[in-house]
Amino acid sequence: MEQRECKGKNCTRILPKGYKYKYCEQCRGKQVGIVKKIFAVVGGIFSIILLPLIVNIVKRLLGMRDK
Amino acid sequence: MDDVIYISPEGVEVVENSDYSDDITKQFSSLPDVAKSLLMGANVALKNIEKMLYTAPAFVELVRSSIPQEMFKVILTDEQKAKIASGAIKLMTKKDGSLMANLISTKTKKIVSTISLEKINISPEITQAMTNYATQMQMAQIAEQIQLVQIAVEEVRQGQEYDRLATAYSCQQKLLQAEKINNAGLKENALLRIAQDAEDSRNLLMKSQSANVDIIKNEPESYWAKFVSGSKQQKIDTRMNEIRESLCAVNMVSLVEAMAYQEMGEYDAAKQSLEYYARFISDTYFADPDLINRLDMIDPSPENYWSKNLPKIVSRIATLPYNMEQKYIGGCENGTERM
Repeated sequence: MEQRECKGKNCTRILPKGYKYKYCEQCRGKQVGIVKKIFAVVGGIFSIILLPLIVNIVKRLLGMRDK
Repeated sequence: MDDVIYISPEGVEVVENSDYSDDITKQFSSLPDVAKSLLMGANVALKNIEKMLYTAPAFVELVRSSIPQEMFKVILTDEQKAKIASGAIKLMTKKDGSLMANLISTKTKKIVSTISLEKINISPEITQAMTNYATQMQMAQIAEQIQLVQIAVEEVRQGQEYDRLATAYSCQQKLLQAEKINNAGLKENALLRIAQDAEDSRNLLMKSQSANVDIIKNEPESYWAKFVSGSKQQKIDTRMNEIRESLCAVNMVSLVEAMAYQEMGEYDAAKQSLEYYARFISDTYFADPDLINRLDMIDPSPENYWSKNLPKIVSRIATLPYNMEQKYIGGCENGTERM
């Protein structure tokens, strides 16, 4: 079996035989960290801007807005 | 809300005081990432309160009511707004100039229609917004306190690790100095103390090393598990660097102990101490067959340090003269039996 290299950017680590991932665990950890940050930003925007709008729309539809 | 109060620059009283700031982030020295969205929410709530305070006086000017809790909002249809804008109709006024809730034609001076009023409660919205703002600020302050405690705990843990490493390196220096002692009795006492201190230091390092290795073993491997419950890569890198540094220190202090016993002529004690070290390496790193490869994959350095160096350490200990059985021709292992 040929020796495989990690496909991560600037990563020259040799993957052991039978390793089931294309990236080493160090690169995979970095990728997950980036995804977590993106989710945190999207979640923040959703909870601050979109969620009050959605709550407002739902209140109007249900006729619960105070006159 | 179409009516907005406009404040001219001349009407603004500028308060120059460096203690005041409208930036909430300046109130906190350090916040975890999870609390930053709370600060964003607090900023938005503060801006809404500011806008509400600017628009409330506009409603007060439309009616004569002095009730602070309730206001009346004028509801004009698009047609009425267009006619007011074009000047075809206007608000009816009394002789004293006060407005009435009627629209009159500018030509015929007759009442065209009445104005619909809507009662709105301003104060409860402001009160709710201010409550939300206060709650978010409190939660952000709690999050900041938790972050400070976490930082303090990590500093204590790091301090303990540095203490252990310092003790190990001091044993090395003590051995170098003890070798220069000329008095045989003093030298022997010093070497014995060094061997015992090295053993104490080594065990502390081994224990913390085992704990760090267990933390790495318990880290999830798959993408989804890392996303849900994995630690930050920075923390994992810190642990790996600690394990490496600790292994180097244990290696060094084991050598110091063996050399101290050898200087005293106690070869069995030196062998015993090295066997203990070899057993530690085998139990910690080789008990799990996949651990070495995993450490290579997770280490910040890409040089496959663990799979190259750990087996070398064990094999070198095994090939030391103390560990090789000395067999003599025709004799037994220790050579005491006569042929």
